[in-house]
Amino acid sequence: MGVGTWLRPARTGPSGMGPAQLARPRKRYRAQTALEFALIAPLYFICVFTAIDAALWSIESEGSISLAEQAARLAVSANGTANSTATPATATVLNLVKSHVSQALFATRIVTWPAGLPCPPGVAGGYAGPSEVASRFGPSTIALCVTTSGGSSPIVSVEVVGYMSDFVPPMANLGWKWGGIPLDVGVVTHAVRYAS
Amino acid sequence: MRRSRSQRAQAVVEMAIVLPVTLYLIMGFIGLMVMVQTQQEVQTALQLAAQSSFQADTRQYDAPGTTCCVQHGYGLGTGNLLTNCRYAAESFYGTMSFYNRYLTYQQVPLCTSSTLPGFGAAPGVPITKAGPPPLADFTCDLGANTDSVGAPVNVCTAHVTIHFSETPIGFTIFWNPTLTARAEAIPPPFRQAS
Repeated sequence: MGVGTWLRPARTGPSGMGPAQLARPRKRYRAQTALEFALIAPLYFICVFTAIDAALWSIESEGSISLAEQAARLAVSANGTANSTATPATATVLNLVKSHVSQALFATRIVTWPAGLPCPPGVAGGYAGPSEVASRFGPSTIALCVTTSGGSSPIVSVEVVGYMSDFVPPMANLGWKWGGIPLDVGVVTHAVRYAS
Repeated sequence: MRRSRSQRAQAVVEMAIVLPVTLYLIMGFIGLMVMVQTQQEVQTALQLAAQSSFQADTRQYDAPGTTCCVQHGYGLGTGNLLTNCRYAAESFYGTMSFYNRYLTYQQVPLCTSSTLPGFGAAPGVPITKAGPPPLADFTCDLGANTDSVGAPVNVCTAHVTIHFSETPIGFTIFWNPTLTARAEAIPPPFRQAS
């Protein structure tokens, strides 16, 4: 008997099996393990991916709201005159909002919602929002639309609508119509006037 | 090797304990995200409302029968009220368009002025020509205080409750948190001298 054998005697399982049996469990045991893994793994990954997507959604939508607000305020401030009742040009607001919002959206295309169509998207035929944008421009696309109204109460309204990219492939297209995280935010503000 | 009945039972019990806890943690995480998101949106809406409240002509009142924010799903009568208040409401309701079916707001007077006598936006100027201001989902205190150069500061506040029980994650979140948001604004520079 060698010294090593004396120091570390062969282990045996509960049923008295030797090392060879422990290394290769029965087929039934392995099948059970595989089945358990097959049940738990999807659940586990769905939980993890849901959490990641929720965090992404939160970060990106928060950023979009803040940045759209800042852009709208910048646009109306830049246009303000002492007693102005004019609103800034739609293109000016769109460019500002686009440059701001793009900082918050990762791997998402930003387009301008076509003039002449209801803004926010889908209002005329009932609420459609992100789906309307996706059906027109495809997935992972955010549309910006701006409406302005002049007169004695000049208002600038900015809508940021569509589906943001999600970075967790297994969640894409699983029950989510367009595969992505829906975003539908808007900001409304009045044109700045400096005196009255 | 075959597992004994007691071992299998143990696995089932472990699963029964761990699965709800995991689900609860995940749903709690999503609920937290919703709370943060709501807070951010209310904060933004109030910020815009506070800033917009300065953009009306001073001492101008809405005509009797004026209704605000119908296009955003609200019918708020602002007749005889300072136009500044309607501007604030238009910005707030136009911005708060998301989650509204899960939110309830504490109803408060749309406009007040806490520091000036006679409920006024400026000395001797009442908020309304007649009657109290209408109740709304937020309140703006016009001229709540003054900044370092004496310019008036408008402060808008809202208290909103999120009803998680009506959301898909309601089965794990058993309480309805109430959030408070507050925003301040000062007038544009040239208005501060007037």
